[in-house]
Amino acid sequence: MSSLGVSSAAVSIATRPVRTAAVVFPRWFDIAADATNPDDAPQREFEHVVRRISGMAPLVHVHAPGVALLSSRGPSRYFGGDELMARYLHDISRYQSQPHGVGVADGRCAALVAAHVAVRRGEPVIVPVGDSQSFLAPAPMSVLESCADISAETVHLLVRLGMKTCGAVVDIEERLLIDRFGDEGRRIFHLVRGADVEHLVPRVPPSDFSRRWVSDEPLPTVSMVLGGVQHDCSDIVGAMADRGVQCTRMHVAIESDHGELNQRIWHQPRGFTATGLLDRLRWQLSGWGAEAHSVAPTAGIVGVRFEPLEVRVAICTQEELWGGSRERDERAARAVTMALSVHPQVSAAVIEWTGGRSTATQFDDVDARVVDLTDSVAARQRVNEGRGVARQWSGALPRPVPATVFTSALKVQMLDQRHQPVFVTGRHELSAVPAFIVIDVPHDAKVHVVKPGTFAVATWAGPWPVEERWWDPVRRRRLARLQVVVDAAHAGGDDTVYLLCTEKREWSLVALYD
Amino acid sequence: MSKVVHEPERMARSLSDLTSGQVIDGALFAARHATHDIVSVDEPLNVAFDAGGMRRGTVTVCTGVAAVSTALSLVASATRQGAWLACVDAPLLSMSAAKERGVALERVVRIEVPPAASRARVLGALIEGFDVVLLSKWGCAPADVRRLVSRVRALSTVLVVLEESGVCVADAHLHTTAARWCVDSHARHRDVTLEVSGKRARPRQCTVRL
Repeated sequence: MSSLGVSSAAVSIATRPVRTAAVVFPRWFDIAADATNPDDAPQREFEHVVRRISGMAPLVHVHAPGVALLSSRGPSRYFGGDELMARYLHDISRYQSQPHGVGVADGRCAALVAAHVAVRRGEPVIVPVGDSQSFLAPAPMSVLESCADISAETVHLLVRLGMKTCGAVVDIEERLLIDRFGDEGRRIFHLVRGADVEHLVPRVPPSDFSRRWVSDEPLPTVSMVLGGVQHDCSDIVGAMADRGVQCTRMHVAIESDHGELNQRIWHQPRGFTATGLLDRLRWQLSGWGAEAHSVAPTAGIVGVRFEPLEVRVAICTQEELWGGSRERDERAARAVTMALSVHPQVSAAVIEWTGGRSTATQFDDVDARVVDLTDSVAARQRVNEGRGVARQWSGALPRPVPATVFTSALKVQMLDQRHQPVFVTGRHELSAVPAFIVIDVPHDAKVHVVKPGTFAVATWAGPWPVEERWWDPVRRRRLARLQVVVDAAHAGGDDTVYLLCTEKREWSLVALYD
Repeated sequence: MSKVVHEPERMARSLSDLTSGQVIDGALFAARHATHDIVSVDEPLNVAFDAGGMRRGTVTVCTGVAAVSTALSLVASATRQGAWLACVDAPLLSMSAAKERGVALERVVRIEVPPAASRARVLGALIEGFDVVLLSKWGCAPADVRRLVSRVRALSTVLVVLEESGVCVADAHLHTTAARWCVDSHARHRDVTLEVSGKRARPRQCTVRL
C-alpha cells in the first residue's frame, strides 16, 4: 500500500463517507447530462444558482448542469444541524420556480438519490448518519447509473439477473462482484452499503501535477485565455498520462488583474482530457463574465491555476474488440490537431444540432479545438440533442432536403409571362403564375455551382409560409418558400430544382438540390 | 477446349490446398483480403461498384447534376460503420442532407483551408488520420496532387472528390446527367443517369433514383 503513496491516515479518513449535501435540478440535468457546449443556456442559468450556494460554502463541486455537491460538515455546524442547513440551502437555490431538491446523506451517491427524492417531495430529504444503506435499499438499480456513474451495461445486467433494487445486491460478496464486474463490482459493493468509494482516494495527488498559468498582460476575452492556457492543459494531462493516472476532480481558480478570484471544482468520472479541461474552463470563464456587475470581473484575466484534487489510476476504456473505434477516434483527433497546426487560419468544426425550420441553421458548427473528439458519447449527444432543441419542427422542409445551402442568400427575380414581378400575397398565394427566374450572381460571391442567367420555370411547388416568433415585434419573420423546377431545355438537358425564399417581396435563392 | 474453372470451384480447390498444407494461391489470398478492403456503399449507388462498395485506397470522383448527393450517399455507409469523415472546403454542404442520406454526423469534421495555408500539408494530415475524405476541389499543384494520391493508396484512405482533375485519373468516376424530377406536392425524387468510368471501374451506364 505504501508503494502507492497512500498514507494510512488518508485511507482511514477516506473510508468513512463524507457527509454530503446535494442540490439537483432535474430539468437541467436531463437536458445536458454531460457538458459539451459551455454556451448552453442550462449551464449559464445554473451558474446563478452555484454562485448563491458558494456564498454559503466556498467550494461547490459542479458535476453537470443542474447538479451541485458540497461537503456539509462545516455549514451544518454553522446553521445548527443538517435540518436547518438543508432548509436554508433549499431556499437559496430556488430559481425561477423550477423544481429542485436538496438531499443530505453520507457519501455522494446517497446524497444525490436523496436530492432526487426531495424533488418529488418538495422539501429537503435528510438521511441520518449511518443510515445510507437502509435508505438506498429500496432504490431502483438505475440510480447507480445516474448518481454513481456505474455503466449502463452493468446496471442492465444486474437488473436482468433479477436484482431490481440496490438492497438486492447487499448480500452478494465483494469477491463475487469483483470477479464479475472488476473495479465496477468493487464500487457497487461499497455504494449499496452506503460507503461511497469515490472518496476512497486511491492515490494522494502529488503536487507536481498542479499548474499555474500567468499572463503578462490582462486578457479581455474568453478565447484569448483559452488560447493561452491550452498548452498547460495538455501539459497537465500529458504529465498524468506519463505516470499512468488520470484526474477525476480538478480545482480551477481564475484570477483577474484586480485580484478577483473565481474558483470551482470540476468532476469528470471518466477522467479529464486536455480538451475536456479546456471545456470546463470555458464554461467557468463565460459563466463568470455573464454574472451581474457586482461579481463579474472588472479587469482582464491574468492567471489560471489548476490543482488536481482526485487522481486515480488510469482506466482504459476499450469500446470495441480489437480497439477499432477508439483507435480511429484518436487518429482522427490527431489529424485535426495536425491540420490546425499548419496555419492559424485553418478551421475545423464538428456539428451540433440546433433545430429550426431552415436547413441552413439546423446544424451549427462548433470549433473542434474545444471539443474532445474521442468522446463518442458526447458527440452522439451533440448531434442528436444539441442544446436540448426539439427534433421535430412544424414547417420544416419536406424530404429530400437540398444538399447545397447558400450561406448568404443570392438575390433573384421571379417574373411572370409578361415579365412582371411575382410576389406572395398576404393569404400565402402567388400573385401570378411564375414563368422565369433571373439569377444574378455577384462577381465577389464564391458560388460556382449556380449559373447566372434567365431560366424558364417548368413547374413549382409551394409557396410554404413560415411565420416565426409572431409574438416578438423585433425578431418576428414572415416568409414563404417555393420549390422551382427549371426547364430542362434551358439547363442543358437536366431538371434543376432551386429553393427560393421570399421575404418583404424580395426573392432570394437559398438552396440547390444537387 | 480448355476447361473453364468457375470461381467457387477454384476457391474450394484452394481451400482444400490450404488444409492439406499446400501454399495458398493468389486468388484465395486476394479473396480473403478483398472483404476488408471494401467500404460498403448504400443502395442505389452500390450498382456502380462490382465489389459492392468502394475499395480502400482509391479516388472516386463525383460530377454532374447530382454530384453532392451522390458523394454523400457514397460515404454514408462508411461513417455509420465507425469511419471518420473530413469534409474539406465544403461550406455550402448541408448537414441536414448528409443526415438524410444516412451519414453519422458524430464522426464528421468540417475543415476550411484558407488560400494562405499550405493546402497540401493540411490534406496530407487529413488523409493520414481520416478514413474517408470528401474534397470539394483539389486546389493544389499537380505534383502535390500526385503525392497526395500516392498517400491515399499507401494509407488505404477513401478519397471522394467533387471535381474532375486532369492530373489525377479517378479510380471510379461517377457522372450524373439527365436528372428528371418527380414533383407533386413537392419535389419528391429524381431519376438520374449514372455514367461510371475510371481506371479501376467497369464502364457502365444505368438509371438510379436519388
